[in-house]
Amino acid sequence: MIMQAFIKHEILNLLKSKRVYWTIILFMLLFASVFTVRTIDFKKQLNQYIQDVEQTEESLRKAANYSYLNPRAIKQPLIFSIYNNGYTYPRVINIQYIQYILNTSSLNQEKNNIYTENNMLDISFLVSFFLSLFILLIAYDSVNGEKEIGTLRILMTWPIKRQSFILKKILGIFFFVFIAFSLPYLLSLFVIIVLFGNLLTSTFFLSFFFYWFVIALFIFFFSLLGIYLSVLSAKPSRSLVYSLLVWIFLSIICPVTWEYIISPKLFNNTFTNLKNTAAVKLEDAKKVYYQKLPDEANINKVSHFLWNNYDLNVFVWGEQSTYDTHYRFHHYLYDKYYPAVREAEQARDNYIRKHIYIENVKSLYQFFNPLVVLDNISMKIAGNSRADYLLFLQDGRKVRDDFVNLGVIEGWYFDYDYFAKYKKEYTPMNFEDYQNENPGRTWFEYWTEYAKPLQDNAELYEMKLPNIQKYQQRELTFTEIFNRIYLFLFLMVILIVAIWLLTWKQFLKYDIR
Amino acid sequence: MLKIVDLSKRYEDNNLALDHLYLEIESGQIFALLGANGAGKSTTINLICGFIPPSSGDVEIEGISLKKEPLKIKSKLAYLSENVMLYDNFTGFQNLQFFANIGGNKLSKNELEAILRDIGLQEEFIHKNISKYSKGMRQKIGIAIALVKNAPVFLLDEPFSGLDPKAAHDFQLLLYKLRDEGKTIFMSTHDIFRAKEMADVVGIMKDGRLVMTKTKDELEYEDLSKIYLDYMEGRETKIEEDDQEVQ
Repeated sequence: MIMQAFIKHEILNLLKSKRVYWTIILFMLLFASVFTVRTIDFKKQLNQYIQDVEQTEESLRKAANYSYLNPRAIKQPLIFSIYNNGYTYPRVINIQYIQYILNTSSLNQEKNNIYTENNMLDISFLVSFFLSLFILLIAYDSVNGEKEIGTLRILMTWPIKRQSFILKKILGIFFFVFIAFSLPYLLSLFVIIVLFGNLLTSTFFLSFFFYWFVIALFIFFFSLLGIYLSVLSAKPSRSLVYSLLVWIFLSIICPVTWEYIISPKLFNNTFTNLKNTAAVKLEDAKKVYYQKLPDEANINKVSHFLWNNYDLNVFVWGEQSTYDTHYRFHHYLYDKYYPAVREAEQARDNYIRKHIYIENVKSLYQFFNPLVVLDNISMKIAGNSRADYLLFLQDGRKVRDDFVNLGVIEGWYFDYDYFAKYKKEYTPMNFEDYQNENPGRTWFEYWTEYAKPLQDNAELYEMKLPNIQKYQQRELTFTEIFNRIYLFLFLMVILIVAIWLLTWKQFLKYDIR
Repeated sequence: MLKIVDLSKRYEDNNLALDHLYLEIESGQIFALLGANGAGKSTTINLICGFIPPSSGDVEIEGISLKKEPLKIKSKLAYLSENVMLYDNFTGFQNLQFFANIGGNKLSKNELEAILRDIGLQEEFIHKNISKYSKGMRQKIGIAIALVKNAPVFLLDEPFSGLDPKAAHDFQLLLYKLRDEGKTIFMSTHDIFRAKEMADVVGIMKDGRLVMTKTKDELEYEDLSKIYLDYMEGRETKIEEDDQEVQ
């Protein structure tokens, strides 16, 4: 009951302080603005996703007529990216699209700039950059401020252990800030349920609660740190300076030295090597693709029955020799080109793996920096770390490989059974015959009046399509999320215990006169 | 009853702030400790309150030892500093309520208001923010806080400094009331006249030593100011010699 009275008093006391009051108001305003910006951004991503899915569905529908596919793995935008944007990466893996094959995101991210908008302003940034500062600004005079106004002396004549006093301070500030964070956080959940309720999965709620828990730890750590700095010096003005210095060190100096001095020094060489290797492998794959085709597989040397147009995804042909040449062409690609593509992909993956490795080294190097720890944990919880990108790439390639194994290469089914063939009893008219019958008609008229209606008429074809598995995005379970973050949680707990012991020790010898 | 046995404090800079203090104050007594700045008055209070650890010696209140039960003894003493500092963002009532709660003393709203009325706080100030209080009113809240603690010993550090005559008079009456209720009151002060007027025993402290203690009766026909100044100006040895000559 005494502890309860203490904590209640501490929270009320903080609430009545103008400085604290305005700090919290500022935090909530920032929260609201960041949340709005991120929600709008998410809505944009969602629309893009819906468009992508529609395109792909359309491509599947067309395949029913022309056996042409544009298989893609499309990542659904994560609702949790509203809280943590994480590492933004291309959400669509175009698997094999002749014009773009060498620019596909799986191989050449730099060239695919469609989905790589990077917006670092998110709730995680707000928490790690601003909330940490705000907590320190709230806590820096929590003990020496009471000493200065004299209430500490009065309190210490009550039968209260110093440990309980410091615990009361920590819990008071912790609960206060935690509530100040939780109010907008829960409100934001409500807004999300209203706006995107039908998209919410169990993973989102798991992430939501994990994130809440981790931020609680983060707030606890900074409350402790603020109190430690307050106990470290007798005067609030001095502990304010200490707090600002510590904050600048953690949030600016540490990341900047890492980013611009330590990381380049340690990893630039390996990075350049990996990047070069990936580039060389990609060039190799291009060479295979562009090298002179053997005659029996050269599709440019056979006559195409009708007309083809890449933009409209239309290929219609009917002669046996055309089928045969295409069949050999596809086998050529399958045997020669895809191994080269896979090698290029592996080289690129190594490059990404190095990134992941460096991210981990960064966290180890700054193990004492809860801002980095929070950054890492939140990306892992949100499922948008570089490691998740790699998983997505591999998933996407698995989809591609499934297609290839089904007999789809470069968007076309190359198996006879799946080829779009006109029924035996029907032979379409070619352009020359059409011109003979309709003198003066243009080629465009031939296409719109004659060829296009034929192509849209599935009745004229004899074909079967393989069962196409849709790309399924991974959902994370509780254990999976926990396994991703337990090491960092452990680190956070160690930091908390360490600073707790320091504060404890310092306050036991603190001169309260 | 407050009992101080051989209490000494030597600071880290080797300054002996309190030198083997022995003192006993009975229940229902007011003890006034006089002394110049730096004489050791505040150190004595700091030691009794447990703000700093003693170099040697002990303090006992109702048989409870500071050394053995540092936490328990705190429930036996109420402390009032020169400038009663309270939580400015709260009202007098809320301050009192908070301290009552952390003392484990769950009092009702009416009971708390009654205490504030009893110590003479004007009705309209009970629920006003402390920042609007005069020094005298703060002092009253300080006493109210000490009262809800229900401690037998009151330690008052310069309680009259800065009070206007009316407030000081009120406060004095309040202390008499406490004394009559059997409280032990230990008060450090610079106010020689009030010390003589109020205290049942007066002590003078110099350079960490208690150089004189006299009861009210002993002081009745003596000039306390003169005695005090004599001690301060180093004429105390002469006084002792004079006493011997008379004998």
